[in-house]
Amino acid sequence: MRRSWIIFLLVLVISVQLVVLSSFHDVEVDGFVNGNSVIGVAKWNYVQGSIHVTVTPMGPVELVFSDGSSLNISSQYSFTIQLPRTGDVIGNGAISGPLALSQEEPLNLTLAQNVGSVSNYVNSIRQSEGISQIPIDLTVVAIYGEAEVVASGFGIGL
Amino acid sequence: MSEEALVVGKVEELMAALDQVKRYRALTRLLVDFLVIILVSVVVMFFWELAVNLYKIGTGYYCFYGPPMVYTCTASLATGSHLVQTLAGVSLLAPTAALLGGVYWVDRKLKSVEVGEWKESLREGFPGAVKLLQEMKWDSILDDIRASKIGYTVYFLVKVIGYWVFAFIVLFFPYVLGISFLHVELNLYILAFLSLGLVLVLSRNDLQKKYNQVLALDSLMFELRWFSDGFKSAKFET
Repeated sequence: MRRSWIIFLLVLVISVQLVVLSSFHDVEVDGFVNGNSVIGVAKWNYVQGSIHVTVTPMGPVELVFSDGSSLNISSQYSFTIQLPRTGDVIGNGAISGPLALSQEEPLNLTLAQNVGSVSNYVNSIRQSEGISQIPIDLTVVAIYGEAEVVASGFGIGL
Repeated sequence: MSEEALVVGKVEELMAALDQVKRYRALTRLLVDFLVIILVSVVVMFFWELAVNLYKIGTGYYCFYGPPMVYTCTASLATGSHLVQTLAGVSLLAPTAALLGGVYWVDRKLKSVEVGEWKESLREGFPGAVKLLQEMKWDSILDDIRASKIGYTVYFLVKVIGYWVFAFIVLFFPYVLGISFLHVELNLYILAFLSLGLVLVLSRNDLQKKYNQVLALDSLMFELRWFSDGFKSAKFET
């Protein structure tokens, strides 16, 4: 009888672990960019994660981050964007657009190259995200110049 | 050979077969322990996976482990994701070790099951043989054979499935190397099929033996049922 309860307990623990493991999501983009380009990250507010970005410039490249700070780089540069959990939500939602989000894909990453006006592109993303019932956290990094970009992210949506 | 010696010989055969049943019955009980060992290893594996995932979130995600990333995530690999990938892969060791350890543990426990206590009585000859038969609890023996047959079959199936998973994991490494270096893609279903084929070929003798033993248990149960009915209605003078 005691062993039956041990087995039940173990099965229960495994079920909980599977639920938690299925809440992890990974995203990845890579490619060559030129002109004015954007790395965009969108997530539901209940998601916590991080994005690791490596930029290998082919010439002079300027990075402009979400907080307005900028950096000129001439050799390979890596940085990590931490994405904190900013709220709780009851219910599910889905939005389309350049950074589509849904319950199955609560974290998304895009690399848009040669977008022309960065601010117009970012505004277009914000407009498509604005119709969401669930709050969205949007992070953008602008890249001015020619470079190879690899960005990969990992998050948990619980 | 006298009829009495013949009976003693037959009882000896029967008792040896029942010893085997006793082992299988013990096996049925050990199956629960085996299941606990496997489940604990799965819990350890998932905890390990969770820890690696949380580590990835905390330190910045480098590269997801898995075959496609071996060739698509080269820049991240160069920046030092080997540790994360190795840590993630190590989690598979837990169920693999549990499977091998569990099979070893069950086999060892089976060998320690005490059998052959009846040999002392049988040395007395015919009276000892009749005494053994009279002391037998036939209903319980028939129940034991039934349970043994099921437990034995389940254990063997679990063992084959476990070896199948193990073979799949072992064959997976050449599969990944094949994708990365030779650019030859092998369907995972084919890999699973190959693993099963390999396990069945390697365990064919064992498979045949186990199948024969299950058939022998069937036939033993049939004969004992017939014998117990006859024995209960017979009267012996010892």
